[in-house]
Amino acid sequence: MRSLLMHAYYIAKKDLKEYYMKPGTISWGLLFPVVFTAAFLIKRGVYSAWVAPGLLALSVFFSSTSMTGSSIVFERRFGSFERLLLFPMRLIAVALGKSLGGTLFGLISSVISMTVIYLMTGATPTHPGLLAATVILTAVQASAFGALLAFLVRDPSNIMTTFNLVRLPMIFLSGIIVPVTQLPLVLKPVAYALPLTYSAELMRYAYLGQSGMPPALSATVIVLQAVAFLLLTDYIIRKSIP
Amino acid sequence: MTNCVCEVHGLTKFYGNFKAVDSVSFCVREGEIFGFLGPNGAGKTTTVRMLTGLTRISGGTARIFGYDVVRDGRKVKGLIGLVPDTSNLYSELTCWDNLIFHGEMHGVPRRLRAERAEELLELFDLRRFRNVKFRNLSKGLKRRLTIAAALMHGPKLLFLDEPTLGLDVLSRRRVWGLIRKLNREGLTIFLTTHNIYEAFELCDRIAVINKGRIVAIGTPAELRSRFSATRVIEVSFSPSRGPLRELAVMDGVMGLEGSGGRVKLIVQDSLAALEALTNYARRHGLSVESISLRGADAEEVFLNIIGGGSG
Repeated sequence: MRSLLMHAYYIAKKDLKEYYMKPGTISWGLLFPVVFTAAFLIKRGVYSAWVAPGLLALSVFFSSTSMTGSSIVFERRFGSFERLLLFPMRLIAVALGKSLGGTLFGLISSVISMTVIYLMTGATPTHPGLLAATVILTAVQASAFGALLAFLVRDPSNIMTTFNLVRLPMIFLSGIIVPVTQLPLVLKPVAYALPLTYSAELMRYAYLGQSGMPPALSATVIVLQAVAFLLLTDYIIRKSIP
Repeated sequence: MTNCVCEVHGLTKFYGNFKAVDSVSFCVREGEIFGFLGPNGAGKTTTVRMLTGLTRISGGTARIFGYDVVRDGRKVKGLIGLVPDTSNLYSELTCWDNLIFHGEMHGVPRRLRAERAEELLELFDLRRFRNVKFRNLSKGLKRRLTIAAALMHGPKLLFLDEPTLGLDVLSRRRVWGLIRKLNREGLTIFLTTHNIYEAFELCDRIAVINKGRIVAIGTPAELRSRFSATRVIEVSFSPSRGPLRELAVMDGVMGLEGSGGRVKLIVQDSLAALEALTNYARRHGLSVESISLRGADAEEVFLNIIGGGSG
């Protein structure tokens, strides 16, 4: 187990060194979430206090998925991904390492977004410990989701387009801008199937002390989704060996 | 076969219905440079990929240092190094960071990692590029660093897949020198190449593979002697040459190339061939402008082996 975690850590460390300055990572992982957050918070009031936690979840989600996606796509395109398969380790270390890199990048982004939120709304969390835990859980879940998506994309050159096809609708369907309870009936099942919905709800609870679904349920779903995404990524990596 | 560090029996690979590697068997002896020589698409890289765990095996067995490459894959990976046919280290990492990362992933202790990286930078004459990103290196330097990275954990068997592909003469010579040096220090090397001169220059033994099958195996001298009776006749006719198919069916003709009035024949019985050539010239009213007879060079030996399927 220790060896597995060490391998994952080394992969994550290498990814951060290599990909955190890539244009796609910076623009979609840092700039977009911060600008988006600032744009929604510019008008102060009750709505900005309500929307802010969801925007934090969105920032973490975009940052983590962008970082993981970039690292996998570049390595697949230039053939260096296969090098990871040559090391004497359990293959799941690759999925874990790639996700850990995205998680760390998501945490960096969360600090920036929380600062923006504080400066623009003065909002502080009701449950700071839960907020920290939620940020970490969201980053892990989003990274694993990004890794899975990156392996499912056949043409790596279209990765950000594909990512945004999946991510951008989530902004409107995950209860970030409009509460899930107010969505049309036909869209509600879609909202409950999206990973970002549960992060937004849990962050809202951590900030405001109330949310649209029980915090324990949100936390459980986030953890289960993170595990499922990791296992699926591992499965796809194994299947990709010709 | 007690000193076989890599023992392969009936190794086979199917891609769908296509048989890329067809029941290949060989043994790589400890301390040797074993060449895997063949034209593009012969199955060299697929074989190496199967042995190193990058491609699944469809049939047969392979053991490296006694470990089954499928069942004991992780143990095998700790004992081998692979330099793939493209220099694919991490482009945004420096030379130093690339080496350290490989040491980390192979579980080399922290202090030894730095020592080993320093040694390899020295050995491969890369010290002044220590803090240069991989993407900014020349092709030759990239190749050297890729080989160095494969040595970070001190493997006992190094797979080199087309190590000099695309390199200029100087870089190629330099890589050859490094391969010899590593081998002199006790490293067993499995080298795949499509370059006959590289194989004959570097290898202790060579397996020739074509269309997924091993067609000959032996030392460079053995492979040459197997075709020592082979001669090449080059002849220029005037005003032009006659039909090539008549020459192709002559007794002892193993290979034939024609261009303009010039014909190159690879033959076993040179006297009979010369006589047949004279008759051919008379029959078609041709005069011989020039004619030469010589022994086959390495490339012609190779073409004969893969063409004739001897062995």
